[in-house]
Amino acid sequence: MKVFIEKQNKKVNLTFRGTGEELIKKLKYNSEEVLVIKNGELVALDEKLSNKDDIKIISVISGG
Amino acid sequence: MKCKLCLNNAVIDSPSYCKKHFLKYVEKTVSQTIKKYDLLKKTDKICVAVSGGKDSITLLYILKKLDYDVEALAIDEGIAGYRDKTLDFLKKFCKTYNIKLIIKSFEKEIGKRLDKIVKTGTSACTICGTFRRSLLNKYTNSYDKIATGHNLDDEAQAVLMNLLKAQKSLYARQGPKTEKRKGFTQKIKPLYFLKEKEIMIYSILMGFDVPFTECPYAKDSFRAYVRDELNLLETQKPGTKKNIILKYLENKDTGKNKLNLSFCSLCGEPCAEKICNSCRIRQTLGLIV
Repeated sequence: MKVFIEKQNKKVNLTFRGTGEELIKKLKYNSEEVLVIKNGELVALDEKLSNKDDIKIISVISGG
Repeated sequence: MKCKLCLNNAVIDSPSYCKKHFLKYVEKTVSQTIKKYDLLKKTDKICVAVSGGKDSITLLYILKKLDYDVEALAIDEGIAGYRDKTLDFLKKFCKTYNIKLIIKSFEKEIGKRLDKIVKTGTSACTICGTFRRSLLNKYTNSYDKIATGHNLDDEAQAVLMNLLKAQKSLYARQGPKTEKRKGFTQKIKPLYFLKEKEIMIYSILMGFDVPFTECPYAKDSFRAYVRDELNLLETQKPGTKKNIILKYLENKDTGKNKLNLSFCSLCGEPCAEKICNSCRIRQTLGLIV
């Protein structure tokens, strides 16, 4: 799975199968602070993700 | 997960709504807050204090959509690589939605960019906040209200920060609107009951394409620490942020929220002392005598 982490401007390749919430935990983020974009679409955290998906983790917190 | 109102897929877990119902929920929450706390009249001329971030952009858009008379005021503090990006975005956004945008800069109004002030070793957030509030009030005399994009997260953080610092006078001054006081344009917070995450989702679903930016000075602030702790608590005990706000509003004692105000002998802006905080800091920095 290709994962782009916006806050760190970093791309990672992962072998992962599970929900958006589980991916956030694996990456050690807090679900209050990030959102999951799956193949260009915003998804709820219980959405199942597979290795074929293109994932973007975007930060909720911005500004000052 | 399905939307709790239709058969479409949910875009958010709690409350579980699809795109259409989530957008409606956000706009309805803003309308209800305005109505419940008597924040606006249809005839009010409103200045929206904008940073170019998701909160102020969402607020500007929704107030315009609700047919209020809005203009936008942005403060350019002079933070390289941060504010210039958000101002570019803001100019495009206001042009698209036909909203008048006014920009005032620290460099012109105060005498120095924030980047240069910070080099003198002064704390960025305190200085920046003081100057921003001062300029915001100075340039909004002709408006009935100043609307700011403060959200539920900001407000819950502020309650905790003031408690942790035992600042009782500030604690009493929070809420969805400030009291009407001579010399001050009344401030309102129509996004008071929306979580930061909900506003982010709204701005994504609306396709606002707000650039991701973080103020380089905000990382080590006290607020950032409180925010991280509160977010941790919210994931373990969902609803914590809203409960803080609701309990705060229940306990708020507006009767004790009275300051003896005078006017600054140097700039004429309202303040609690002989000289306002903004002029005091500018004196310290050698920007005025």
